[in-house]
Amino acid sequence: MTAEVPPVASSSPASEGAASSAFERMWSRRLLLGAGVGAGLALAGSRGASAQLPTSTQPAGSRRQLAPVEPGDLFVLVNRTSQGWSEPLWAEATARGYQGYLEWQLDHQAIGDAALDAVLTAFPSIFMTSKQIQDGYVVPGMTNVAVAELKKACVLRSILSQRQLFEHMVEFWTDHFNIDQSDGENQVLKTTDDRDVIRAHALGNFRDLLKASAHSGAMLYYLDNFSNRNTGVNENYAREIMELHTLAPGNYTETDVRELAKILTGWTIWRQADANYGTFRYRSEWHDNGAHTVLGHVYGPNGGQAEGEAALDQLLDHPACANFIATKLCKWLLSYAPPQSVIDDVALAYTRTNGDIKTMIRTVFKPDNVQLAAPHLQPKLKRPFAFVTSLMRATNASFTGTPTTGAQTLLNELVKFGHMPYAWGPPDGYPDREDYWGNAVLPRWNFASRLLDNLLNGISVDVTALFAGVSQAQCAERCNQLLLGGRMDPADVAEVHAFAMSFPSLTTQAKRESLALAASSPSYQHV
Amino acid sequence: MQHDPRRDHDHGGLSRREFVGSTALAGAALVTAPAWLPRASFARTLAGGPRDVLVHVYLRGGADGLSIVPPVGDPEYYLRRPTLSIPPPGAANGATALPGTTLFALSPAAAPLLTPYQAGKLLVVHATGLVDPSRSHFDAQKYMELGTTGAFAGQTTTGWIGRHLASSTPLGNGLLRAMALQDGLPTALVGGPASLPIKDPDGFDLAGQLSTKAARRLRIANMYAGEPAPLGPASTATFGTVDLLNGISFTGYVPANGAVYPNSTFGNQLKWTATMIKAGIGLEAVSIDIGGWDLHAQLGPLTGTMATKTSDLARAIEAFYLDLSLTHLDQVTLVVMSEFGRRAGENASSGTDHGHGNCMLVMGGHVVGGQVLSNWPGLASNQLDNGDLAITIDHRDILAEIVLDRLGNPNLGTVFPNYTPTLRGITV
Repeated sequence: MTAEVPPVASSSPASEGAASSAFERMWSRRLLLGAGVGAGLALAGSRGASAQLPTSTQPAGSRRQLAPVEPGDLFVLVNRTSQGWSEPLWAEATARGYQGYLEWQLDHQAIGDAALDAVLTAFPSIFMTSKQIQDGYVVPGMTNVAVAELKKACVLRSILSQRQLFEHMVEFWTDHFNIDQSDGENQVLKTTDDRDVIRAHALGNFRDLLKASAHSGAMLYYLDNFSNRNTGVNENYAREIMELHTLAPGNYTETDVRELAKILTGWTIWRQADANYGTFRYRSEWHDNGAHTVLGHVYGPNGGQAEGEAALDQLLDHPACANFIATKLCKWLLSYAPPQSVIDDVALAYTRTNGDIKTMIRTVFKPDNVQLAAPHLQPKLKRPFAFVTSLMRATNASFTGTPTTGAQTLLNELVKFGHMPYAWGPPDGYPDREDYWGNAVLPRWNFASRLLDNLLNGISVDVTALFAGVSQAQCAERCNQLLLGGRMDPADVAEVHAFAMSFPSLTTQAKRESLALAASSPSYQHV
Repeated sequence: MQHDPRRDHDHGGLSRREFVGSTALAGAALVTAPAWLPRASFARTLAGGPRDVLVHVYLRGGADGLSIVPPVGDPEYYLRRPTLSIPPPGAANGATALPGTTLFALSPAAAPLLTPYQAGKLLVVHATGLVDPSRSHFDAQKYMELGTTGAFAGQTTTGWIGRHLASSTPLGNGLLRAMALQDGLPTALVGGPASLPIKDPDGFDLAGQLSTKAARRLRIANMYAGEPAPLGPASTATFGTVDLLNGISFTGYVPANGAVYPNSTFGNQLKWTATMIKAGIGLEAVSIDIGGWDLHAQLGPLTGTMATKTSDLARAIEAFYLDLSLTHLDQVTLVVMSEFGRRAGENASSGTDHGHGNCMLVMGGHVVGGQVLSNWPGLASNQLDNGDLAITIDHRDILAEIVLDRLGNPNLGTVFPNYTPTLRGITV
């Protein structure tokens, strides 16, 4: 067994390459795991196996090293840096090559997104200030539709945007800096946080991102720092900025939490009546003017707002922060258990560049690191949101009528999964864990079924077009190509094939249900 | 006990029709079975002892136990909470007195708990919790659910309920052993055989065209049969659960004994739980999360958020008690816990920050209730643990006794590794 995966650039059904690469996935997911006694053992086994895989024969640092070292890597790259693999995206990727594709996606502002931009004009609130939303959308006794506008925009961006890596990172940082939009004033404030904090810096610099978050009205409201004052410190935000945003537990003490909370007294927001509602406000009369010690560093007395800014810099400069961000990023983009050496490499990139996110992503996807992490041998479970967006993209589902109708339908579906955007209550963000999401399989099968049966209001899948020229015997392999570029486990393909062949002929229903069955397969639950 | 998924997904070769028919005898014994009851019903006990259904209610976010069961007899309580305390019984807006104690009382919002308490079926444990010093929600929840402390958390990835189930024989046919009434599986259930997160058990079935349903089910079952956890076993349990829940009409369920569940998420969840317990489908554990207890600001113990949430909790538990008390309470143990209590002193936001010790509720037919079990450490500043209520009873002492005596599992070293519990005599 080698790591070489034959190219599958063609979308034609049933090529030899497809069968072989599918076997690769089967080997990785079934035979290997089956050899272990339990999941944990099996995981260790797969990591061990990855070390035995042949490494690139190209000399390090050469130009050719940056070329696609193996087609499997390109597939992994597209899968792990998007909100869903699709045939059109794969065509772009194969045309650009491994490094070209990555750089194309990293330079997200250069990628035209006119079609999406036109759709987003249906949601005026996402372009507004908090004050404008408060004045224009909040009417007592009525639903603030700005809440739904932001959620719909999120879903539509993930499905329609050409800036797929950007959207994938927006999802990551949205969880990292989680804010529950249903939390009181965040029905207004989260909209500007999404635009001015998360999206503004998702592919920028982590320092700017953290600082922007620390001055975000939505975050200061959500974690109660807006009411943190010298007369009785509220330590909620101070704790979470260390635990969840920068250092991770084990790298600070309870005393550090209490001291940092004092340093952040007076970091509040302008209130509804103010013209700058929802923006950062420092109130010196609320500030604790004593001396405070955080992580051994003494601030003040009389440090004012500046001591808070300096304390944030101290957190950002801490090695634990580099390690924590690098670890989370590798888990998001590579595998649940990335090798420590890869994490270290990404942490080094953080330190060297003072937190440049693009450099960290480039480091994650350095061919050497990808080879070491062997993500194609350690499939990640799609979270429900990714399952929904990827299936919409792979089936080229179209929005009938206005996209807002279809987007609302998808929100209703995401509620059933428990994966509505901006709706996770606690500050740790939606879990990125297989054991949390992986036991709820029925909602996945049923979403695939309803989508492909064209039962979702405002959404339509044209199976006639998708299966043009496909015979009944080719139906399963066409499903394989559409959803996974031919990388579906052959055992899954065989089941879809048997199902498709059980119809008297390849009727529309046969196409719909075969594709839904393929989307329900274990293969399609993973990236 | 490991199941062969290739056998399970088609019930060891029996079709669904045969499967239901083979258990018709159990259903037939229930001559007066109400319309919502399914035909499948399993013997509840196995040789070797009594087996309860465990109902695990987790208050996410660190619920303020001092506002649920306030220590009204400790003058320090009123010093720590000048604006957020609950007045003693008899005062205006005062707490509800608990028979047998002057130290503790119930929040007025928790007054419905008096019904099971007075019947001797509800136990309050106070100054209990996770002894680990962490004040992090996520670490504290994780350690509690893993059934360990931070020092040993790296040694296990499975939850205490999951390990209990994995180390005991199934109560029923094992198709569905535990259900979490939510979207994802809580850590406490991880590692448990046939344990599924199901947010809404009503209408739990495969969608799509009826004409192809059986064929699609067969193909999906085949595809997942060799799949490792979580997907493979989850698929097997999912099809088993579809069959088990198939005959139950959740909407047609009529609570017994005049019980009225609050029309809330938690009220509905306890009602569904009662429905499934009475249906005898072999379910051994139900896990329910209630979120939103992290009230750093605007706690509202008397009229605000805390009071509202406490009232919903207490009313639903009272209804659950009434609903089961005449027929099934002897087969049920319900526990209510949270990752930690909150800071003894209040903050400037009319809230409280993360604390340590807390109260815990245990209800069931074999619970030594009608009392508050506590070695109260006090709330004076020199009695606090870093500003918080100290813990004098490890919560695992309570859970271990339930596992041993009510769930019939002697493997406490498996369920709570690296810990020797002190059994407190909370069950009979």
